[in-house]
Amino acid sequence: MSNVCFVGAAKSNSAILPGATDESIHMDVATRALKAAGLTFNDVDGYATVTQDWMRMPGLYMAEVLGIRPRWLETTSIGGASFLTHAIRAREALAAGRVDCVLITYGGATYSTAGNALGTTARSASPLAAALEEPTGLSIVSAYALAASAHQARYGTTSEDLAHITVAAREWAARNPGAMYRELIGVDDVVSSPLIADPLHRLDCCVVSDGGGAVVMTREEDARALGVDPVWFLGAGESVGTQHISSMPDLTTSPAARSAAAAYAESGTQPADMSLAMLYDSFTITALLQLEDCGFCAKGEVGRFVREVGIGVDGGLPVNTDGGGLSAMHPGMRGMFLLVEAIQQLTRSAPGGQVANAELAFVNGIGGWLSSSVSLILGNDRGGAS
Amino acid sequence: MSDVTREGVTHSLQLAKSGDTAVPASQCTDCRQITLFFRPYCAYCMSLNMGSVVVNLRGTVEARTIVSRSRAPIWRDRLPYSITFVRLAEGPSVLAWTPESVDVGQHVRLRMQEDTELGRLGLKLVDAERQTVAPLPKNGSTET
Repeated sequence: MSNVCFVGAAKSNSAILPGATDESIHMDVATRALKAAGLTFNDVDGYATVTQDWMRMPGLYMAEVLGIRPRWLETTSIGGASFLTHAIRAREALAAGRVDCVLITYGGATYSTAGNALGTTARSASPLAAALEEPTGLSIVSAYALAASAHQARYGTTSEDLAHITVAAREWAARNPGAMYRELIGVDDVVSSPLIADPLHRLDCCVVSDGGGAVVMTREEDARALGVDPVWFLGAGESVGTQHISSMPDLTTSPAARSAAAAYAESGTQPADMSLAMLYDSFTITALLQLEDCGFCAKGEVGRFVREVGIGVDGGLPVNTDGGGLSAMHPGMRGMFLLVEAIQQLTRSAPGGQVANAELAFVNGIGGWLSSSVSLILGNDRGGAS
Repeated sequence: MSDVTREGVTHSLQLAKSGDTAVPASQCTDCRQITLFFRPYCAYCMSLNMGSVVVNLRGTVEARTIVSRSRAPIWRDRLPYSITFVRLAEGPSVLAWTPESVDVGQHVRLRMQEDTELGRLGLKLVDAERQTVAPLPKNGSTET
């Protein structure tokens, strides 16, 4: 399946889009991703999306809004990582010849329509949550705070270790004109910001923004005919854990451990080969767990890794080069931005800091409340197209 | 061991009554695995020989958070409060609410308690091993 590739990618130019709607953002990024590939909506015969909770049958709705009538539709919903699963399904369908050109879109006018309280409101994740979680006053911030607490207790990880994740994100965001927050900050700024759910501070939490993204996928022969720089889909893995954080067998290990291992195995690569990593950073602890679970450092070693190896502009492993959800853009489902930024890095078209000689990108999405994980390994022509 | 009424019930906490310090759980009579989820089969060994067992609501705190910001009605007025992730002695895990702070590693006992404001039952932490459970300081800033 290594002949399947990405031929176009686009994301919103700004994290605040006054007057935008979810639909208008889908339309903006879809048209720009297709234009980047030299394609039109008439060329699209496969479509995938998943959208905010209010939209029923999002695939049918958004296909009609966009003006396409695909013969292949994919709407798997596993939270913010959904779009990465869509790319895996598209890859399989393209390789099998059941579809020729797949468009995947996401758009959320979350900040402009709902404000920035997303993470601290109570939300029912399932019918069971009424018995398991709602009586405890659990929010998504406090759910992730439990994971951070467990990691601190077991491995001695400190709030300063977590803060390094945000500090590095700001370094990248400062170079990205589309990022929501671009001022450089230090570890002290993070640990002295107000506690939301101890041990997580306000600056351990992602932004709540507007924005969206879209990608276009084809097979190699079509990509060559288009004359674009293809980004190859080299490996993938998926993993589902538990929907409810109260059922997690181990709060310090995310489902990424399993999905990442599968992606490395299929692509024949290892963590040290990666030019950059795009990791889901809904909170600092989310990215921290992935650095370990995706093999960039040993379990319990992540504090030393972020301090000594580094993930910022001068770090040994560039992570979240657009500024991440922690600083750049996060309307509620971050997975699409991980994919778009990785593609833009590999085609030297990143809007912010460009990683020199990028060849291989590791992309990892986390969905739900540490519930699901999807790992992708992408490469450009220098990075291992077979 | 008496049978539990399973109609419409998926999880042990849905069977609990106010004041309970133990709940009915599901145990495979073949592989002995205990789970708080009621299924007609054992998800570990596929056995259909499922029995019930009483699980005490006591265990060890594996993680805790102190919530100091909320926009949710009711919870906003209770700030700050703690949520603990407790590994029960029998194996399964649960979340519990407490107005006080506890530490990871502490042994705790939990009780189901009616939350009249919420209009539902919830697990409350009733006793921690150490007697030095300190009240959380009110920081006065309950909104973000």
